[in-house]
Amino acid sequence: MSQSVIDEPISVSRAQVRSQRHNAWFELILRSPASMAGLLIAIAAIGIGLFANILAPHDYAAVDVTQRFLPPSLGHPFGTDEFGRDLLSRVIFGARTSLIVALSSTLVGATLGVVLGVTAGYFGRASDEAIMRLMDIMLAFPSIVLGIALATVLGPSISNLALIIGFIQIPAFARVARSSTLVVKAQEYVVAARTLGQSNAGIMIRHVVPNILGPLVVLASLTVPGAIVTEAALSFLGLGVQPPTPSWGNLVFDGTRFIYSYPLLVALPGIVLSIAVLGFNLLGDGLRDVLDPRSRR
Amino acid sequence: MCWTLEVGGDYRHSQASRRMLSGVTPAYQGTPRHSVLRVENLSVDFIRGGLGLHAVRQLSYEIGVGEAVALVGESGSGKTVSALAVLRLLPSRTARVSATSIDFDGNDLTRLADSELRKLRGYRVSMVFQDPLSSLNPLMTIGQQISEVLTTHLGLSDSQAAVRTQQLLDMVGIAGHSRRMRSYPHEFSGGMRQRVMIAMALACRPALLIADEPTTALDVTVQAQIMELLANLRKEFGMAVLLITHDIGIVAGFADRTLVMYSGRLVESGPTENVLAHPRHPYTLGLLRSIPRVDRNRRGELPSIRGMPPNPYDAIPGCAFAPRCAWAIPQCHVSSPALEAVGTDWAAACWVKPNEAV
Repeated sequence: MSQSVIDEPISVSRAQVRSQRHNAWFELILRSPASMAGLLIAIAAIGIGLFANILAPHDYAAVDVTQRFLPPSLGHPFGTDEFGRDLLSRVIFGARTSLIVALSSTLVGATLGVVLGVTAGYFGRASDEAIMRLMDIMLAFPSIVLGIALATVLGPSISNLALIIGFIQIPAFARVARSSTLVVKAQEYVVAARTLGQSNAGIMIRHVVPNILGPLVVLASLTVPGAIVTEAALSFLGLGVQPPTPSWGNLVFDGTRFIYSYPLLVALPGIVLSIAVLGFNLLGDGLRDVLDPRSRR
Repeated sequence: MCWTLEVGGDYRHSQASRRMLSGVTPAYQGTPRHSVLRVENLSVDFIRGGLGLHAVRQLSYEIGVGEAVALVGESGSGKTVSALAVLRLLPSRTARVSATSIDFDGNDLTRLADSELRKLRGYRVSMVFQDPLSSLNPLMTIGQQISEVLTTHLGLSDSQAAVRTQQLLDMVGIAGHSRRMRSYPHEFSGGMRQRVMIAMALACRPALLIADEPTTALDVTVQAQIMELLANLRKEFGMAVLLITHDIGIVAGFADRTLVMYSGRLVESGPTENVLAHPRHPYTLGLLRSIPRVDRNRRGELPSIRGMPPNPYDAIPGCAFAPRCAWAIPQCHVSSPALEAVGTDWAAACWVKPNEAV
């Protein structure tokens, strides 16, 4: 064939383009103080959870009845609870429990929700109706009521809690995945892939899912704080993490019994919980701004 | 249909076709005797809110082995829809496709199972689309996208596919393979992306390539390069091409035969030189006269076809072009003309068939 028409080699190397693209993302996060704060809080929370056994000054389960209800001091910065256990250590280990539940439940919800949503959006018609009406039925139950019902049936444990909260999150992920799939499905590269003989499964895995990840990442980062709160609520109701294992939810619950005499037992875990939730929410908002070109100014 | 000698005759000496992957494409020999695609009475209706939109009406055509055929018509005349309908790529929810038969390479595409059809797509018949940016997945590298076709149809391993991908990039004139294979579509220019699309479409050496306005999104110099590339690869592979376009300028140098569509119907079909030089259908004549030319009418007004194409929702009793036609006679508004021979392998669907210079 004729070699007369050869395009000029591109002058910018791939590595350069890559780093430019990443810089642009990172700059957008850096430029917004709110999302930067969210990112730092999220990293800090996950770090505390990961290194709880190093960071905690005391054994979270060590009972010492002579040290009950101590006010904050150098030895016990958050004070002690009704069994004389160090509250700071319990909050630090509570971060581990709460984040394990929140992150793994989001993983469960996202995985199942994406499978259902992409299937519904890609095939449409009967499968779409069947799957999305099922999602509507799930959404019709308030999430706490659904969580209480499932926790009562399955019994309280950390893994059950992750499954239950993940199950509650399925419809949100399915809806976002479905609507994004409808957009991507109409793209010419999906038609081109069909024209070139790709199977439906191959198109969904290689062409649809990678192209809908943006909104799903945003949704996931906004779902984590919701999962932390749901975990806290179920643990508060006694259906979640069982003592003596601490979680932010059952720490607040335990504290409520002494709310008039020792309000710090509720306030301190509550404040930590609120900061973590705020951090993940800010991060989610920041990611949405970065990943969604429409919200860029 | 009878074949004239000059149709596709220039492939007779194709050395390249003998170098082809054995068994993928039968080496092309001499004048075509068989058709690679034969479409009979294809109709496509879109159902929208209880109304039927007639996009393609009773379309029949044939493409010979190794032949280049242009399908010409204005936007909305049913060119693309008819091609997508042949490959059963239209959404079954809204499109009603009917055809007496669609014979491709010995397979009746109207009856073929989905899984069998999927094996043909990209392997024996491929398609290149208008916009090369949106036709490539932005998140996959060029190499991955070409290799995907090879691993799907030829069952090549990843390393074999990588070697073939390099050859394919070479074939479409993209140098610096190893780096280019790891590039993403946004790092390529429009012309290079279209070359990548062509490499993907031709990866398995198909018997038929459907090129749906392959140069519309490109600027004129790149257009010429892409058309030259397609013409060269067609010779090399002995492959038939169905070129869908509204640009008559690129038809002249490329296609052996030209089909002209208007309002979902074939109005004229014949050897390109006949159709473009002495059109016998008033619509073809009007199309050719409305091309701006430097040698004529430099100060005058550019001729155009008066009126608008008919509403595709309407049932048209007579010739669809009659309301816009200067030659229309009463019969034209009453009954629809069938294609009638006006020469060797040349037919026009017109009661009048005016014989005028362009």
